[in-house]
Amino acid sequence: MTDDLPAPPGTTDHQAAVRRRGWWRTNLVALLSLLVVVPALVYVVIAVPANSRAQSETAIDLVSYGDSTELGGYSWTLSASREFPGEGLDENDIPTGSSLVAAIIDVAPVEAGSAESDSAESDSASSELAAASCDVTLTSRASGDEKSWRELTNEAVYNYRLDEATTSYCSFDGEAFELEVVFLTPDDAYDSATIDLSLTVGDPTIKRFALQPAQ
Amino acid sequence: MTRAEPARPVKHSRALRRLGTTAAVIALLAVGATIVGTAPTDDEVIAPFENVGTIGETVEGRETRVLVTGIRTTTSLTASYAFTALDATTEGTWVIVDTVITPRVNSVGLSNSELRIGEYLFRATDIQPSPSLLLFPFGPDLPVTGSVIFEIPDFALESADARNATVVYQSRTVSTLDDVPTVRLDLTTAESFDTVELEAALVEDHG
Repeated sequence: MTDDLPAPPGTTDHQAAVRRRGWWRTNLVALLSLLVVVPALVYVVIAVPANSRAQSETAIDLVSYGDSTELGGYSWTLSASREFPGEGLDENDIPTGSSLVAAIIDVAPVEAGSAESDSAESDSASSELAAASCDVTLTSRASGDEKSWRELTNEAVYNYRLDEATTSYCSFDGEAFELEVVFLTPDDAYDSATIDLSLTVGDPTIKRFALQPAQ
Repeated sequence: MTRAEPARPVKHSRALRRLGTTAAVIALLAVGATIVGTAPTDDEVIAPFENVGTIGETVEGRETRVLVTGIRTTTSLTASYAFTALDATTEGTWVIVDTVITPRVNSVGLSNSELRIGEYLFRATDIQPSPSLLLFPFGPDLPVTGSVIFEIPDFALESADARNATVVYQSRTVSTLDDVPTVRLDLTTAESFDTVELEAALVEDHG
């Protein structure tokens, strides 16, 4: 009971209570300001950059070997891939210590109204793609670090001929096509390699295709 | 007498203090001037780190490993361009630095490589057939054999600084705070040819 009663005026407890009330009264505005400023500072310094970074990071979709995925109104399926080990420039025109890796990706426009297509959005993407192409790289993690190789443009030097029915570049004219890509890599890259494919226009998503298991 | 005598040491003490203060200020100014005078410039602060080596020595940068296997000079270059079936010959004074480059992380084109002779700086020429070390499609861990070529004036080749030239292998105009392979060359030891035919860079047998 006595604890609940205020200390009588003039006593030491009363003076201390007055001092405590005075401190809170003096610093009330500063404390309220801190309540606003500190969370705002945390938001600006941490949350805004983190959010910005998260938005700028490109999404990567993993695609198992043989599975199809949809990008830009087209269906993409890695139907075959193979490694050609280098036996030497005098033997098979592929340097020892390296391998030629080739892959074929079947590309077909997604039918409007099909389960994979989202009608108007898909049509819009298709028209946007008319002047677009695609970026294809081979990425491997054989050495622990992620490293990537660009598509060869002079595969004939390594005695590799593209199939007559395939093409080495993307052309989005509404027709299906087979994309054949060739890479020169170190000889230990294939087993942990994937092919990353993205469009030069529109959806920035990277489709990461698993390769056909080595036989 | 008794009033005048204590005044002398006070004056003496003030004079000493002033002298000491003046000396301290001068010393501080001298230290400041030395610091300002010897401090690196803004450009030097952000300059690339040059990993320096010599011919026959593998020199590592962040992006590439570089091995210079030889240097040649010529007054006539010939190049064949496969895609245009065009042969071209050009006259001049050329330094050809035969190099094996191994990218470390991604494909790298060393299009901003430089040859430094004394105070002069020369950019690598891009007249080479494709693929070249300047623009090549090969990726990491594939050693690519080719040449980096510079056209220079005769006086640069004949100058005393030609004994202590350097080639800086870099992919960007400004390799700020990056580490780049740099190789010292004595151009007077270069083998001289009447004409040199340029060839495309290639990955040779290795491993």
